[in-house]
Amino acid sequence: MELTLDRLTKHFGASIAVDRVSATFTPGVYGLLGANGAGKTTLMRMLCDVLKPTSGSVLCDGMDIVRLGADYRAHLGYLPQEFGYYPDFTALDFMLYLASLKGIGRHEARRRSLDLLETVDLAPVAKRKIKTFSGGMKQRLGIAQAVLNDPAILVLDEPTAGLDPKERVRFRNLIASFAQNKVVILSTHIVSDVEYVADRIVVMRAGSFVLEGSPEQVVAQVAGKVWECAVDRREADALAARGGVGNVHYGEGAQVVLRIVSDEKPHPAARPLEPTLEDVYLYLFRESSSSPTRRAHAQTGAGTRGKGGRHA
Amino acid sequence: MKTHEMEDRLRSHYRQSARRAQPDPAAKARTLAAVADAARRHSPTPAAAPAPAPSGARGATPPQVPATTQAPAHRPAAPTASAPARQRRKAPVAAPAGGFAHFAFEQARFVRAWVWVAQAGILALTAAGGLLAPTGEAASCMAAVAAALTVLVGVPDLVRSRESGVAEVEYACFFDFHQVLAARMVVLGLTDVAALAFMVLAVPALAGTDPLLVFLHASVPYFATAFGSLWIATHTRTGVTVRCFALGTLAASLAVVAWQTAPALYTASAAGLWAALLALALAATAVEARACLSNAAAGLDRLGCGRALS
Repeated sequence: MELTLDRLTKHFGASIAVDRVSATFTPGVYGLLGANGAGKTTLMRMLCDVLKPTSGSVLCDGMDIVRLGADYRAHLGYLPQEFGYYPDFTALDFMLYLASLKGIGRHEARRRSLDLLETVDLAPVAKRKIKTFSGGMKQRLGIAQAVLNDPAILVLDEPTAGLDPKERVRFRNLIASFAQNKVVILSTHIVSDVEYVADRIVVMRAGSFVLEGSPEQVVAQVAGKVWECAVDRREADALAARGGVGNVHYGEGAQVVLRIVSDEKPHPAARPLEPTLEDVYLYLFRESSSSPTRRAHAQTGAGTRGKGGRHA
Repeated sequence: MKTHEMEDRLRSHYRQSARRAQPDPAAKARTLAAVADAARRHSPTPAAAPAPAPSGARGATPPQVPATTQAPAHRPAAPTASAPARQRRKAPVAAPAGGFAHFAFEQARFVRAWVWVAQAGILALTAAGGLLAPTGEAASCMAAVAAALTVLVGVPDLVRSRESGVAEVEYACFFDFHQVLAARMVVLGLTDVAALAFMVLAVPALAGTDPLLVFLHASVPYFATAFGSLWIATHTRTGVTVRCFALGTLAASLAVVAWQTAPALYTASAAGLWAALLALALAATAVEARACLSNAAAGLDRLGCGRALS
């Protein structure tokens, strides 16, 4: 199975959400990394035939997915960022409903639904209404429905945003177990999620792919650009104002230890550090972040959304 | 394999060769093998292996085509040696037995139970009204009100994909959101037809009125409410159910007001007027149903739910 994007573009009025993106995806796990507004969700929706592109095409084994239609969607599993559900459905009802939409026969649907609910640890609550579920439980139901038809292409849009660390680890392990021999595209702005799961990382900014490669290749892009220095508070404020500060640690006394991403040595006392994927993220998106506090939140992946965090 | 599918596959191969700016014999061999394999699978009789392409013909080493399109800024690296071997393309999934018709009737089991209970309640009240109405015109008016309410009980289920945010997942399924909406229209529409048929049979039998008049007096508010509800669903982004209920209540109220202020409208002398209104309402409903389905087929941004930008 090979998924090809051919100059894929999406405009919303005068705004360009995805700008002539071309890429090829073969079986493996791809982490799509980017800040809010980078175009990740729009791109994923076009991959899943949820949105029609303004121009360009998505090809599955060389054939346009618009022409393939249901034949393409039969091999597709999708977990959207805003996972909707029918509140009065039970988990089992919802799985059976989506199984009917995926063209699975009634008996097979029941067997698979029960198996998957067991796999995602929702079997004890299969007959409970979804509106009573916690955020983590809803996300697990979401991943279960996404793999109901054993898809060859699995698209997951920010599946761990708002989950607590324990739930995120559990979710990552679930994704890894489902990802065998599939094209898995996982979008997130939580760096640690892709760091552990992805075979290849694609970084998206302003509607375009700006960086792509294995995690090691991507991290190598900021080799020699990550520094640590211990300064006093006045110098720390001055360095923070210049931007690029990834972590601030207030030590005993007046010393402040800063982790800085910068093309040049930011301070005479700065020493170079081994870069991480978070440093790549901060380096690429440092213009959009203006304060150390905001950048520190981005680094820890505490990314709460408007609704507030969800917990298992 | 159909001709255009074969052409698409080969065109894709040559496009990728152009991007690489050099021929790739291995990729070419894979493409030709995939074409041959698909042709064998789709051919009713075993197909012979394709003959080697004569030099200069299609299938020979493609010419060095200069890149006329903008090269992607960051092309993904070629698969590494450790990457999984290229997967054999899965055969297209055969449509489930019975196709869309079977799928549509399957959707009846996902309509909420209260819809059927409400429908049955409306019919019971209509029958009671036919029995107890003082005049035939009063019984016809009750049928008109009941017909408008019949539309309303189905609206929440018709639009629930949008209202609950499930449409995005449904778009990505084998039977997508467009087909889900069509299936619900079929299921709810057929039950409404059965309900109207019951009214047309029961009310004249109980109240002694003309079945044709009952048919006209029930059908006009039914199709007027259906048209209005579909128009709201197509052109409104939020609060669809509430607006439809307001519209249906208005239609039912108008039927009652007409009976109270101009009872002659419910007599045979006004049948021509009702017939004209029915033709208009029926045509409008058909046009709006088509527009609603076209809107659904156009994608999530046309539907109005979900974020426009990410």
